[in-house]
Amino acid sequence: MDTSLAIETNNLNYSFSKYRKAINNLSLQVPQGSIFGFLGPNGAGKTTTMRMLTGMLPSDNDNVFLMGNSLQKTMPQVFENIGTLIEMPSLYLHLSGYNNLKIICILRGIDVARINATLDLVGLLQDGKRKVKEYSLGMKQRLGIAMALLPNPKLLLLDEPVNGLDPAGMVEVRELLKKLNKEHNITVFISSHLLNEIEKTCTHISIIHKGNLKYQGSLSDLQESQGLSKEVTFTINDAIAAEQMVKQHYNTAKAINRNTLVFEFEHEDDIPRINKWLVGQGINVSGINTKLGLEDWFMKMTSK
Amino acid sequence: MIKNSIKAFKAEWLKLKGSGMIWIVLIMSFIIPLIMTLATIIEGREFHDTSDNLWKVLIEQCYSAFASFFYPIFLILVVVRLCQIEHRNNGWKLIETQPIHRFHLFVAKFKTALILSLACLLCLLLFALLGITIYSFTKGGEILHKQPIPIVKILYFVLRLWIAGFGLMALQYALSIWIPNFALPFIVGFVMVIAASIMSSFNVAVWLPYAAPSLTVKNKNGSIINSWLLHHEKLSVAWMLLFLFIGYQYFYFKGWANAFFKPFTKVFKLLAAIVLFAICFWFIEKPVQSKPYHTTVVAGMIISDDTLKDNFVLYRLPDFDTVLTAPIINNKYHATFNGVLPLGEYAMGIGKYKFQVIFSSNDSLYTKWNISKTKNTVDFSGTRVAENELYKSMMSKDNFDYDDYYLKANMKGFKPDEFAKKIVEQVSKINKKIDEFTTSDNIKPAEDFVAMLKKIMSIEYINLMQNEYPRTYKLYHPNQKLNYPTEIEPLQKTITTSDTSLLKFEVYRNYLSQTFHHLAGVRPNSFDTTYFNYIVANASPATIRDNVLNSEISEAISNMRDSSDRNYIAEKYIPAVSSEKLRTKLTEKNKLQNSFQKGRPAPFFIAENLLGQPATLLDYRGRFVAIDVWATWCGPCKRESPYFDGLAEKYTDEKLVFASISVDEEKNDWKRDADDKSKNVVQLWALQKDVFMHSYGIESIPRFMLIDPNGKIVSINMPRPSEQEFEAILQQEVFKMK
Repeated sequence: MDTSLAIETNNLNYSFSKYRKAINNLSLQVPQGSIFGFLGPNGAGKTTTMRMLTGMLPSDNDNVFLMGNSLQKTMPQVFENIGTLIEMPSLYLHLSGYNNLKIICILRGIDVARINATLDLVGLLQDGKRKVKEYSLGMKQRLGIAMALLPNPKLLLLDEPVNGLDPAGMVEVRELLKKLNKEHNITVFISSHLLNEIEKTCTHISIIHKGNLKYQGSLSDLQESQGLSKEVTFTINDAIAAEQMVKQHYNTAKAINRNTLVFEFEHEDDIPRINKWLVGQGINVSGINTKLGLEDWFMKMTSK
Repeated sequence: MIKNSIKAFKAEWLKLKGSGMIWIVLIMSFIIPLIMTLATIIEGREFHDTSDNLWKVLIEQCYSAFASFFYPIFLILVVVRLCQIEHRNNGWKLIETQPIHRFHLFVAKFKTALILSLACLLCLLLFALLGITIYSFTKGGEILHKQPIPIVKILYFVLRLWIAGFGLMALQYALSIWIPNFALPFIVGFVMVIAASIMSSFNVAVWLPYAAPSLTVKNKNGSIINSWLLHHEKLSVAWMLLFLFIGYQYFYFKGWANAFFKPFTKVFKLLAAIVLFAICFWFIEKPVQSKPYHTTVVAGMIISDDTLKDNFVLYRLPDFDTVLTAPIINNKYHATFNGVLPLGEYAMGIGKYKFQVIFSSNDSLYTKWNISKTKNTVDFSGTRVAENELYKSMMSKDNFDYDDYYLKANMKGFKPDEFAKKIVEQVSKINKKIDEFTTSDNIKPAEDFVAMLKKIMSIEYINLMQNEYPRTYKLYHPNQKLNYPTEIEPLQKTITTSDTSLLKFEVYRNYLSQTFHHLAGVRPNSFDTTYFNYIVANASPATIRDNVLNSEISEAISNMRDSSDRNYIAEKYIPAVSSEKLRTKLTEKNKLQNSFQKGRPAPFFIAENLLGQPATLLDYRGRFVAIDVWATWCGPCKRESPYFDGLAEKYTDEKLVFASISVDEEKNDWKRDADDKSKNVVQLWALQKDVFMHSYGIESIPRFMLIDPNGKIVSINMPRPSEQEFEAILQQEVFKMK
C-alpha cells in the first residue's frame, strides 16, 4: 500500500458468470493530485471497476485502497473524503435539486449553506427549486456532479461525467475539473470512452480492454514509452489529387479525406517546413493541426 | 452511532416529500371511516344497545373493515414504494457511497415504514372519531353525551394491530430490496394476503405474517390471561427479526451469494438465524395449558344498571343442587370450596340469571357479568378458559355440517357398513377439531376435558348407531340381522352405560334413556314396567341407576294421568332408588300429584287481568273454569291456543268460563299478545308465577286444567285442546253428556 496513491488496486478480479471475467487482475495506481483518465471501449469493464472502487460490487479480497485506506476495512468512513458519480447520476426525481443536495448534507453532516454555492458552481442556482424530473439530461448530469462535489472531497470518482452534455457544457466541466485539481489539489478519476476528452483533461491515463489493463502512466510518458508518432494535418483543397505528388517528397504523407493530408513528423521545425513546401507547390493551406497519434494506438490496444 | 441513525432517518424523511406517501396514508385511513359514516347516516341506524361502549363498537367496526384487507395491502404498498424511491432513482448507490453504515440506512427505511403505518392507524382513528361525531350530531348528539371515549383501550388495540403488521412489513421489505421492480413484490404480497385470508378461514397456515392483522381484529379485546400481546402478535415480531436479518444480509453483502454462500461457511449464519427463529416459533406457538389452581375458587364482578340483591350460587347439574353460595358485596363476590368437584358442566347463577360453565375442583373461575335490560353476557377467565370456549363452540348451533345433516336425515339410504364408516368419519372429524382447538391466547384445553368432550361429542353418533339406525334398518329389512363391520368396535367401546363422569351432560342422560329402552326392548318414552324392571336389574353403578330411575319416575309422575297407574309405578320403583335424597324428592312429588286428584281443592293463586285488576278463582265460583297455562315465548302453547279459543266460542256460557293464564316474565309481552286473543277467553297474567307453577306442579307448558264450580279440581292435567278427548271431558264433566 502506497500512501502517495489516491487509488490503488492489487489484482482486482470480478466475474458475473463462471466463464467470463469482467475484470482480470487489474492493478491500478492513481497518484494523488492527478487527473486520471480511465479509458476503454464500451463493455471493457470500466463501470464494473468503478463499482468495485466504491464497494457497490464487493471484492472477495482486501485489495482496494482509497486514500491509503483499505476499502473493505474502512467502509463507510472512507467515503468521508470521496465524491462519486457512477453511471447515471442518482437523483430523486420527485425532489427539487436543492433537496437532492440537502440529502447529502444531512447524511454527511454538511452545512446546508454550501448547497447554493455548489449549485452555482455547476450553473444550476436558478433551477434549484425546480423538481429534478423537469431537468434536461445535461442539467441532471451537472446536478450529479454537484452531489459528488458537495462534500469537498479529496478524491472524485466520475464515471462518464460529460455524458449528455452539450459542447459548451463539456468545456465547462473540463475546466471545472482542472480548476478543482489545481486549486484544491483534488485527485480526479474519470472513466470515459471519449479519447478526445481524456486527452484534453488528464494528466494520467490508463487503458482497459476486456477486463485487462493495457496501459497506465502519465500522458507525457506515453509518447516515448509507446513510440507514438506525432502527426500534423494540413487542410487543403484537393488532398487526393495532391497525395501522389507530395508522397514523392514526404513518404509519410497520406490523404485521409478530400481535404485533409496527414504527415508524421519528428520535430516541431518540420511543420513550417512542410507548410512552406506545400505553398511553394501552389497548394493552398487553409488549416494546420498537430496531434498525438493516440487514436491509432488506442485502436491497436483495444482491437485484440 | 445514534447520530448516524438519526441522519439516515432524517434523509429518509426528506425523501418522502412529494413522493405521495402522505397522501396514501391519508386516503387509506379516510376511505373506511367515510364509507362507514355515510352508510350509518344514510341507513339511519339506531343503536339501542347500551351494554357496550358505542364509541368502542363503532371504532372497532372501522378497524375490522380496514384491517383484514386494506391494511396489509397498505403496508405492502408503503414498503414497496419506499424501496422504489431508491430503485427508480438509482438511489442505492448514492446512499451507499456516503459515510453512513449500511445498517443505519437499512433500518432508517424500515423505521419510516413503521412510522407511516402507525400514522395510518392513528389517522383512521381520528377520521373514525370525526365520523362518529358527525353521525352523533345527526342523531341529536346523544352518543357523545352518554359515553366517554375508551381511548386507552382503543390505543392499546391500535398498538397491537400495528405490531401485528411488523412481520409482514419486514418480509415485504426484504422482498422489495431484492426485487427492483414495483409490480412483482406488490403482486406477491397481494396474492399472499388473499391466500392467507382464505387459508386462515380454514384454520390453515394462520402463522403466516400476512394473516396476523386479521387475527388481531378478530380478537379485539386481546388476551384474557393478562398477556400484553396475543401469540400471533409475538410471532409477528419474530418474523420481523428474521426477515430484517435476511434482508439486511442481502443488502449489506449485495446479493444472496455473498450474503449466505460465499464463502460456504456463511450458510451457517443463515441456518443459525432460521434455527433461532424456529425456537422462537416453537415457544410462541406451543399451546399452553392452564395449571390447576392450589384451591377451588370462584370470584367475579357484575356490571349492571340494577343493584343485585341475590347471592352468587354455583349449582351442580342436572339437579341444580347448590354447591356453594357467596354474597355479592359492591357488585363483587369471592368464595372458595374445599370438597371435590368432578370435572363437568356446572351452572352458576345470580338470581334469575344462570349460565352453564365447565368447572372442577382446583379450578379458579373469575366471571365478569354484564347484565343489562337488553343483553346478558358473561366473560370467563381462570383455569378453564379454553375448556369453556371449546365447549361453547362445539355446542354452538352455528356448526352446521352438511355431512352430519345428511347422515341423520337419510339413514335409510345407507348400508350398515357405509353408515358405520360415515359415523367413524364424523367422529374423527370432530375429534380432530377438538385436538386442534386453541384459544386466541394459544391455550389448549386440559387432557381430562378433551377426553371427556370427545366422549360427549361421540355419544350422539353412538346413539345413532346403536339406537336410531337399528330401528330404521328393521323397518326396511325386517328379516335381516343388522351387522356392523368390526372397525366400529373401538368407537362403540368408548361409551358405556356405566360412565358416571358423563352424567352431568344431558346428551349422555338421553343416551342412557334411549339405550336402556332399546335394551329392554320397549319403545322410547314409554313408562313400561318392563323398562323399569330392566333398569333396576341391569343399570349399574348405583349412581347411574338412581339417575335414570329418578328422571324416568319423575317423568312418569308428571305425565301419567291415571293416578292408580302412577301410584303403582311410584310405590314399586321409588324404593329401588338408593339415594335417600332422591327418594324423598320423588315421594314428595308424587304426593303433590296426588293432591291434585279430582275433588281436591284447587290451590289458591292470584293473577292480574287486562284492566290491571287482581283476579282469583274465587271470582268464578259457580262456574267451571277451563284454564290454559301459556307464555308468549312458548311455541306449542301458541299452536294450541286457536283450539282453546275455538272451544271457548262454542262452550262459554253461565256454566263454563275459559281462562288463559300467562307465566311471562314481562307483563308487556303478555299484554301485547293477549290483546289479540279471543274476547271469549279471560286473559290473566300470573302474579308470583313461581308459587303458582309450583303449587300446581307445572314443569312444562302448555298445561290445561279444569276446575269445578266449587273451586275443586276436575283435572289438573287435561289433554290438549287439539285432541278430541279435551272436548269429550268438557262435555262429560260440565254438561253431563255421555
